[in-house]
Amino acid sequence: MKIENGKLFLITALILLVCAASFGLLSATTYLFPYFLKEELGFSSLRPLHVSLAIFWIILGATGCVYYGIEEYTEKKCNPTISFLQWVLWIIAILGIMNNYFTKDFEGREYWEFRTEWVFPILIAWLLFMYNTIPLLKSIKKWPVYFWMWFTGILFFLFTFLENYLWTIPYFRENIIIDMTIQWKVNGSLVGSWNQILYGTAFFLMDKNDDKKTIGGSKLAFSMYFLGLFNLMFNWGHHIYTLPTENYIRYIGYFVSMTEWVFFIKIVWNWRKEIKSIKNLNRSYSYKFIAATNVWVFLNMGQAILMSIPAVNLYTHGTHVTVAHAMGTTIGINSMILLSTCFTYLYNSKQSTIPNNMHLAFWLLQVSLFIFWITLNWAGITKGIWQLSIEPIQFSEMMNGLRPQFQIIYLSGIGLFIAILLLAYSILRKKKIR
Amino acid sequence: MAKYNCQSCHQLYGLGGYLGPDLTNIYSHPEKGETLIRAMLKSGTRQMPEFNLKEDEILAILEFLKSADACGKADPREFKVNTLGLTEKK
Repeated sequence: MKIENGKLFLITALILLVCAASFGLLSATTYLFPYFLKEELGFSSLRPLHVSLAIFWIILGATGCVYYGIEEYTEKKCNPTISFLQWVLWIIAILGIMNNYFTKDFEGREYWEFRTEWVFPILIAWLLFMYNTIPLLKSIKKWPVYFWMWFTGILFFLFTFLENYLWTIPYFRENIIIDMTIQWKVNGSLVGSWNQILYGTAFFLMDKNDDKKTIGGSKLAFSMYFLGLFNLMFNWGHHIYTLPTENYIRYIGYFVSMTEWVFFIKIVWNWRKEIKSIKNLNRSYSYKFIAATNVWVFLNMGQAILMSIPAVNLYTHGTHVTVAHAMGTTIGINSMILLSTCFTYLYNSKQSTIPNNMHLAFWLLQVSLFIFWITLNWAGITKGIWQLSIEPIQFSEMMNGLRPQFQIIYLSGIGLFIAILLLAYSILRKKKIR
Repeated sequence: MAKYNCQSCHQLYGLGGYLGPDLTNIYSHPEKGETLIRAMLKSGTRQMPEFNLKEDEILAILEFLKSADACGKADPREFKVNTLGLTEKK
């Protein structure tokens, strides 16, 4: 059996993306039509179906990126039998998890609300991934920055995924504050670990497009890596500013978040150069998605830094500003990098000319996401003001007042769904045949 | 709470879903408290389904909400901002 390791995971991930977008749209429908699927599924099933599938799109996509990147750089193949076994375990886990959600058989913590037995196939799949990729990484003596990022991401995912299940031990589960602190520490670090893999992939793709291949070994790239690693380990404090924990957690969270200004200023500094390089480079879709990522990194990092200031966080915490941040980063950053990888490795642009619906899909995705993001922030700020208002207004009254924002969010969500459908269809239809 | 995935809609300390209200201090809320919680759990709302919970499940949820309430306050109005931009309890 001839298996292309990266392709297997990237195509599966793309199918999961379409499923995630479908459940996202259904979830959003319940905001406007409360009785929609209320008895059949309800929001308690629709939300985890959307969120878990989106997370699996990112994790399986990141796995595909690492396989493609490592195999191309080392010019060696990972074991296809092991990667196939890894894939089978993921499919078993995903089907089991979907079954849990459809049958409302919940367990666990937010974002991982499935029965604990599905942890084991995921864990074994991850160990197989490590076994399959780390020897190839070790075969190269001087690692480019993306090797370090992939290695760090893979390793930290394992640690934080296990940490995610500390609640199964009574000591952690029986104290609500300890339980929630760990849960939100883990959520921050898990995102940090797959960000390492995806940012590493972005550096790899940039190096691939650069004839001199200077990015992977540059001091700047390495300083970004160390800062990212520092943030991965310590930048979760802003999730729990309101929890009654030790003050030092808040101080560290605040301080570490402020180090992100370095990233932010660097992005602004590079802005002009970036625009020039976009003009000079060929207009391939793989590059266009990386260029779009830069814009979304700028917007989301600006938002994240502001949200990390406790005085601002007081207004934004528990509001749709947090949703805007989550959507902006998962769609704007993670998904753009993954789509760039899909276009690099899966899409055969040589078969014929690029169809017009690709341009439409690309811009529909960007414009819809921007409207979606801005309106979520608008809804969040409105709720934030309500949370701090002295006049006691009922929650339901406040939510009714947000109906115009929810209508715009829903319409832009339809735009996102159509764009994702068009992109996935185009990629899958014009797969490279080797 | 995890069994019925309450966190998909509700929050504790502002962490969780966004469709329903934060439940951290609902137990001690002067206009809500145990009676309203029981009523909501029994009849549901426009968006919240009726879960047909057994009495022991209702008691377990009430006990959980009581202990969550005893841990601290989640209302942002309970905090003040100092000159460094940090927040502290009033």
